[in-house]
Amino acid sequence: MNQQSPPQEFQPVAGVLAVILPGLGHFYLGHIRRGLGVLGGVMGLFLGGMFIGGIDVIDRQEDKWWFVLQAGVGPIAFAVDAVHQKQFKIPDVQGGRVVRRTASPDPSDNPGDQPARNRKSLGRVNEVGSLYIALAGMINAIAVIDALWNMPARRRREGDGGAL
Amino acid sequence: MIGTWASTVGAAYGTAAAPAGAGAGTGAASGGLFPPGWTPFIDPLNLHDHWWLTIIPLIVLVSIAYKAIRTKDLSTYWKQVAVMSVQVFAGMIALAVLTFLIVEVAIPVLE
Repeated sequence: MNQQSPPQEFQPVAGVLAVILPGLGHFYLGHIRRGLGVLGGVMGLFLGGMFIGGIDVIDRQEDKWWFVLQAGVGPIAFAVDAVHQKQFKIPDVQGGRVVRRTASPDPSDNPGDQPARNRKSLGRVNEVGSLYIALAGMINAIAVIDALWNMPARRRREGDGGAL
Repeated sequence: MIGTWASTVGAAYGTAAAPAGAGAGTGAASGGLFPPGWTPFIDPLNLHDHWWLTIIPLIVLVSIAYKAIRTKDLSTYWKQVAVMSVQVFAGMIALAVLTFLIVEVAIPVLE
């Protein structure tokens, strides 16, 4: 208990890698099992949220504040949002300006009678899916900080066998 | 490629596999957990009556990620994941019971 913790080591490369892909920063530091845990947990939440709520739960335009938290997952969240906006929503004129919206299941409700490419996620299902991915983003933010300051190395020196 | 795939999905919605109004993400009577024409990761599940069950994988996945970062001894990693999962689940149940008692018992007594 009296043992002093060694100073934390700033690891910018690990931090950047952790932002790019959940767990990658820990892999870089040699903490393979921790990296696998982060990758499995964060991506499990991310894919679980999409499995429950569909692609509609990642929507930077309509659910801005959810997306602020979801963005913590990294480029994957931005990529899925870009695909959602560009490939699944349709342009429509509302109030004199062009907006992108989820197409109605009835093509006659859509400009040019375009068919719907996905179903709108609503109610509890939308909330739960959004929550899954928001939690994934928040936990990955903790993982990024952990990798950035090389905290696993400190635990390893204290004798926990943190790296394989 | 994605465009082609999205077009394929879109075409599927124009067929009888997913008739208009067959749920649109809300229809409880649209065919169980997986609505007609459901595409994984694109369309929502029909979980509106059982959404609370999703708390179990949520808790387990949060525990897996959190303990990977915070645990000191990885030799007991899965045990710690299990303990955290049970603790969070028990806490949720306790909160639900407490809220139920406040709403159904305490407030009527005070009125």
